[in-house]
Amino acid sequence: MRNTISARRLGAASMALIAALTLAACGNDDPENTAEPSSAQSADAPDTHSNEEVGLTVTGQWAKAADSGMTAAFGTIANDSDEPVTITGVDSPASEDMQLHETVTGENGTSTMQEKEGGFTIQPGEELNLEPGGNHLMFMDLSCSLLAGDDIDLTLQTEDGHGMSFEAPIRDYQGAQENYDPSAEESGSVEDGEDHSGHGTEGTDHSEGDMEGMDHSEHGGSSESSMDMGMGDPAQDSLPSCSE
Amino acid sequence: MTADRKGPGSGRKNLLTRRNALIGGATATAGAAAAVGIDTVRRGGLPGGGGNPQVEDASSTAPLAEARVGFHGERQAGVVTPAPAYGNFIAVDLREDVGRADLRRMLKVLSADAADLAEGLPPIADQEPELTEIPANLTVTVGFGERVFDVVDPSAKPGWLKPLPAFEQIDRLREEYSDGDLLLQICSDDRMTLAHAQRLLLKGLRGFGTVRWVQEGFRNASGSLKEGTTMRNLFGQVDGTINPTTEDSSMDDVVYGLMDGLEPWAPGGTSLVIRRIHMNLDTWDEADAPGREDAVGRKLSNGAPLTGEREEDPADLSATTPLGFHVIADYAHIRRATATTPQERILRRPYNYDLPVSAAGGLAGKGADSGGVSESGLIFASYQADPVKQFLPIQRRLAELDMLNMWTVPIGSCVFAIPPGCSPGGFVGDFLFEG
Repeated sequence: MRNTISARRLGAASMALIAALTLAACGNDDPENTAEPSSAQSADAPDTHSNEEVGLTVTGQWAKAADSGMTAAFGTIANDSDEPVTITGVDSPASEDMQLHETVTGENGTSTMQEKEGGFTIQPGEELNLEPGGNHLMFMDLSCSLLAGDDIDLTLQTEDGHGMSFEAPIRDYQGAQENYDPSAEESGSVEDGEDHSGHGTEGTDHSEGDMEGMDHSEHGGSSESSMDMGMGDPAQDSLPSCSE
Repeated sequence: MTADRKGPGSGRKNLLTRRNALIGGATATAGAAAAVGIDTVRRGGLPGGGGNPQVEDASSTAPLAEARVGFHGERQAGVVTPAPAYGNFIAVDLREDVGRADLRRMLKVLSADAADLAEGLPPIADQEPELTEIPANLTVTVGFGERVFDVVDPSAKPGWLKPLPAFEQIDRLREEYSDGDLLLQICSDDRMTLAHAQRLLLKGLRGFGTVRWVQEGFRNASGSLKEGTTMRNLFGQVDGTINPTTEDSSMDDVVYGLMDGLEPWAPGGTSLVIRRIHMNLDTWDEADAPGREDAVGRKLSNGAPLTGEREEDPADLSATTPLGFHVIADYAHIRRATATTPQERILRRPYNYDLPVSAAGGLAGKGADSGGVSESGLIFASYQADPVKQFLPIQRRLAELDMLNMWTVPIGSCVFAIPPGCSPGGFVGDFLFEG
């Protein structure tokens, strides 16, 4: 957590530096300009230890808390290398089935999530934003609970066989409730909610009248029904914490 | 190329870039460079981007936009920090089933979010990141009630951490303004900033407990008073004279227990007592200036003791009138509040409150704690190393006799332990989890 936070806090500065560097790299070989980004990257070292090998920098990463079923992780992935990098997959100890997802607008105007065919290719010097309502890393079936305040390990797999691991802090989050479409070809046939509002506690007690109850009751109308479909019975026992 | 890199995301880079655009960065290149400059300045003047005149432009046009109080340190911010214009106090009741690991997670999120907010940066998953850009001296101070210690580390619980004894002569305490398991004190010179910070932090706490009460307070606007001016309460009195100060050792001594006869419950830790004091402005209106000054023992004009000329003059409690009465009356507030031991001092950092009313009219009667066209009072916030040794004796004397009790009614009361600050990467209270 310590490394993750410090890296994150430097994220804005380093991203700006990287942006500046990219410009410099395109335009000239000024040694002063090449010195700055290397210091920025060393500051980000905890998240970029695979940087040279993979050529990627991850900043602002986080995952949405959930006690079972599906959830998602977000962040910004920058390609610092001179070559295009294609992310073909993602792994986490929290879910055996993880997917790279994009959000698309269907013919009926509703946005749905679907697996990104061929993965995400990031051109040199460009970055990929993973964010609620857009592209994201999808946990398809949690094997343990992601609890707010914990961190979860994620590993990006690239086309050339490399892996880049990083920790993502977990937060309770009420957004990211896009409809999930398991089949890109059959858009709209099945709509599962992605939402599984975060649990505060490590226990499995779902007593009424506490904040857990409030969490569920807060979901209005459609999101509530999609939640029910997505995570099944909201009263089902939560899985043990991924950190246990 | 920079433009190509801009995604649709809400990343910090975009925020910085947008802010820079407002300042006047015209090209993409200048934008990136200026963003580095701003960020560098914000982090304490690291080399590489300093001296950017655009940054100065920003602060001269919006003095609070860059006003920051760092979150991390040996002591929490928001105690000796000069009080910003707005202060909200929020008590949280923790869930019955909350465990040690839960509180660890809760405090990690709370601390990380508070640190980001203090820097003017959006915390993780902030859905209104634009509202964090102006910290305006935002501070978030965390207090622990008994429950936190019971769950995390009972052996660390300070002996004084419990409700104050009842003061039956004066108290009319209401549950909605009393007690609680966890306290958030959020202060800022910008009410917008405070509202967003409060919302964001409470979202993070929602999984762990319920909001027990919120007390919203205010002082003079930033820029209204010269720095260091003692505030006034809604009775018009100068309120908070003879506070300990960081200009000598008195703040360390009194608030952090570094003097003989006191002991900090944890190094860098202190305590907070909040007394919500209803002020009956209607019966106060019946008192004319001489009576008001007599009740307190200070001049209304400048807060000077009735035996002196300036606010900072020491009160001469032995001075008598030609008729032989004490100039500062036996029942005067400042006589009754005067310390009887070197330890009996407190840091007062109060906020006024003035609630909206509806269907309100007439006059509040004598001794009433509501009524009339106002619902006003004081959130009396007192910081000291040991409330039992320092706060309680003063409060006992005031409960026994204080002319101000004619117009005031305590309607809320709570005591919290204020843990030390934390370092970057740590969290408030982390030391309690080491055992």
